[in-house]
Amino acid sequence: MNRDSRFLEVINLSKHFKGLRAVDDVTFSVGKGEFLGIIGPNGAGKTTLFNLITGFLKPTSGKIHFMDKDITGLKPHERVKLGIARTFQVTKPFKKLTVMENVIISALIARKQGKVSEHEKDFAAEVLDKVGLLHRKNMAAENLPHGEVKKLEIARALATKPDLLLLDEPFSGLTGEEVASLQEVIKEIHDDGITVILIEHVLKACMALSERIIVLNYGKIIADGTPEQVCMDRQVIEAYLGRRGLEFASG
Amino acid sequence: MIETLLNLTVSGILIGGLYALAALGLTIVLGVMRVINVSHGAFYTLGAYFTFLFSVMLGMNYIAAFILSALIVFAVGVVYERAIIKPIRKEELNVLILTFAAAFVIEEIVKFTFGPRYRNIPPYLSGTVTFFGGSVDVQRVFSFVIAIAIVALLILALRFTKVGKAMRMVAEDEEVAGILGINVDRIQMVSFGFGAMLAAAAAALLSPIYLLYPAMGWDPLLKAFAIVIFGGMGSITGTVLTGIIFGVAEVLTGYYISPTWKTVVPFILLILIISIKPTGLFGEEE
Amino acid sequence: MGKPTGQASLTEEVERDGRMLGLGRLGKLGTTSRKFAVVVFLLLATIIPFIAPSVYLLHVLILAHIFVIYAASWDILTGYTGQLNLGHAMFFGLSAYVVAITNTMLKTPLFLSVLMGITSALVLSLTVGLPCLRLRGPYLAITTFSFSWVLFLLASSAMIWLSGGEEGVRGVKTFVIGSIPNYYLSLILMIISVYILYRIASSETGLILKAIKEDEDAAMACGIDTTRYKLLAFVLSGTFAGIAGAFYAQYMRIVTVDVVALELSASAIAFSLVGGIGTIIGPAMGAYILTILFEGFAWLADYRVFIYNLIIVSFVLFLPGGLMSLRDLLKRKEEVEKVKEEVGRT
Repeated sequence: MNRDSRFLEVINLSKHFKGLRAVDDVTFSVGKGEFLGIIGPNGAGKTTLFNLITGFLKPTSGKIHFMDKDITGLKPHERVKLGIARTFQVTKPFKKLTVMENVIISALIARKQGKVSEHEKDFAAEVLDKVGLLHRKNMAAENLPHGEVKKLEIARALATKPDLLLLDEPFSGLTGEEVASLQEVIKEIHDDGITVILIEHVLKACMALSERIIVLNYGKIIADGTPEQVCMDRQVIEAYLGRRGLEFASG
Repeated sequence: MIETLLNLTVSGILIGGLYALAALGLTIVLGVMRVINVSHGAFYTLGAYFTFLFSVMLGMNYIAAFILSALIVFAVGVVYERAIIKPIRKEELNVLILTFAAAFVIEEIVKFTFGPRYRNIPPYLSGTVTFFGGSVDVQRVFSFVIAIAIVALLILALRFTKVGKAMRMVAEDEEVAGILGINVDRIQMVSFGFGAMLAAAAAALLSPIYLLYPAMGWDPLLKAFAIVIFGGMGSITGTVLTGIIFGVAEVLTGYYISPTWKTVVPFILLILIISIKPTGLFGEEE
Repeated sequence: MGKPTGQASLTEEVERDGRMLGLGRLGKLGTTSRKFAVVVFLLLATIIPFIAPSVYLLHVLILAHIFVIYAASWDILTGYTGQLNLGHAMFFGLSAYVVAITNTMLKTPLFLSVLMGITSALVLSLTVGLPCLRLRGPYLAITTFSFSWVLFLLASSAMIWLSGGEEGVRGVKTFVIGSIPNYYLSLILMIISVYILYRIASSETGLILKAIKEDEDAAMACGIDTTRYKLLAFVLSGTFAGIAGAFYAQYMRIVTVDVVALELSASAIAFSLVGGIGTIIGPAMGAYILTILFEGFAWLADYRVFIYNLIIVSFVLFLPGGLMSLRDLLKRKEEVEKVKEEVGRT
């Protein structure tokens, strides 16, 4: 267990929409430097959970603590200031701006907050280099192929100099080659000391990167353990394959 | 006192029904195409002026003029949608700017054709109806009844005809509707035409009551918009109810506060409500 | 912002890399040819009163200066943050009315009136901007429209005792008398206003505003306090429109209902579309050219509204980036081809 195992704490967090419990009384902690994967069938509440943690949605009840600070009432940009960054499942690039300009926006804010001392253009170039997009720096974001837009999302989040990075399905829609290369990039990011929480459906990559996995179903946590433990968990199998599948798997 | 109040309220309801009709046109376009048509007022204006053209200038029977106008504006709406809306639908900002400007273009054309001064269409029916000690023009009752008939037809059509059902499906989920084999493009074109037609119908029905002038469309546009927002964007019953409330509020304001303020108050209300609850009072999709 | 010596500023670097993006661009003048054009224009503008001292010409140009400020102020809001303002005349008109009314009815000294006019526009911009914070797209647009419509109704009927309606408020004092002094005053005002707006737009602030226009959520995720910037845009927009309106009032010395009319709001859009939304210089150009055209040719006056709005329709359909985007359309095509090639190759 890491020294500071209560880096991020989610306490009894719930989000109800009209009749739908998207996130239902979820409690878990993440330690500093961990790599946590979150999986679960579609509609399990994973993205909603991210939206709650990053402040894009207000919880119906519950609390979120980050570095021992109660951030439940903070706006998204304030959480970015504290060190939480995210990517979006459906990418949201600044389409008409160049790749460089996209990342400079985050870099600017980071520099203004004193997290970065160099000129934002240099820092942005570094970040772009890290994800492998430097050669595209002058291209309008809307002209990028899908795989590179996904990378841009990550670059933009990285340029805020976060301590905690939330990645929402960064591998979706990528070719096998792209998956492998992105996996490397994310691993490097984690090795640099950034705590990562990853939502993913591409299980191979998710399992390979994560030290620990939480499984969500219908807004609730149904498993929490190492990738191996989680794969063998009956409830998890049932959630993905249904009761018949569970019988099939055990029988 | 009570009599005056009653009288005014009835007056308000009658007018409100017509506002609701205009608002429904906006609702349909909003529901099926997710587009706020800022030119909606221009179709309203066209409806009134075509009715004027046919009934006053060409001497046709008012009913015939009304029907003909509605059909012509339907066609105008369709052409408008194909030529102007369809190409730029994806850029929301551009759609808004363009429909805003197109409304002026139409207004100016009307002004060049018919002149800037007030015009009027004589009432189709004359006389008054008395009830419970109050009285009201037959013309207004007539217009109201026709309006309600149209609304009823609309509701029935949406529920029972093929086109109507298709429109509701596209309003619900465009993608799924497409997958199910509905020609979404055509439905949207037709819906837009209907939206325009409803505005024109409302105008045609209101024209024997109010004066015509080229810029007459802006006021109903904003009122329709206010009604759509208050009424919950897409809910037909909400829209009709709100329209009636609006009509009553307007008439009462005009009498108890002042005639000049009655034009202003609905919009102050709109601004207040939109600031407090952007999803409207009735809030649910149908 | 402390820059290490010898290192070019952000926008200069981006510019040197040669990218111009058209609609949505920072709106840099950048290339030498454009900078040259601006210098030539300014020189000409300065000496015109000596080459052609026609009172009528100067009058038209003074109006052009006023509307340049007006258009640029619309652009910093709609062109940069994407908050569509369909009622821009309200800022211009409110300021003009406040100047006129306080000066003629309350006998306030002109300088104070002008201050009050501009302040009222600023206050209005906050009043409109605040509810607009939680609105997007069409709802925001209609809200701005509603505010301006209310103002129009007040001026044309409900408060006609104050506004004078079509007759208007007359007898406003003026700072300087005569065409030439007013010409230079308006020219200086225009240059300063456009310069300020342009500098803001080309700075990091401008880039942030553009990001908000592209995707507000993504901007928040980058750490931007979008509320602050959206309001800033509103305040800048309203205040500069108020400056234009105040000058108008003291120059024309009469303020009628036209200053809050819908048609004036549409004009702001026409000016900006012609030049190129989101560039400050584009709208300035568009305002200058169109004003000269329409004020200059009196016979066009009746058709102004028609033509302005026909222009809007045509440009939105065929050249949404305005005149300034003509060059960039070609470059963009090149870029898309390049990517297609690369992707095809792998």
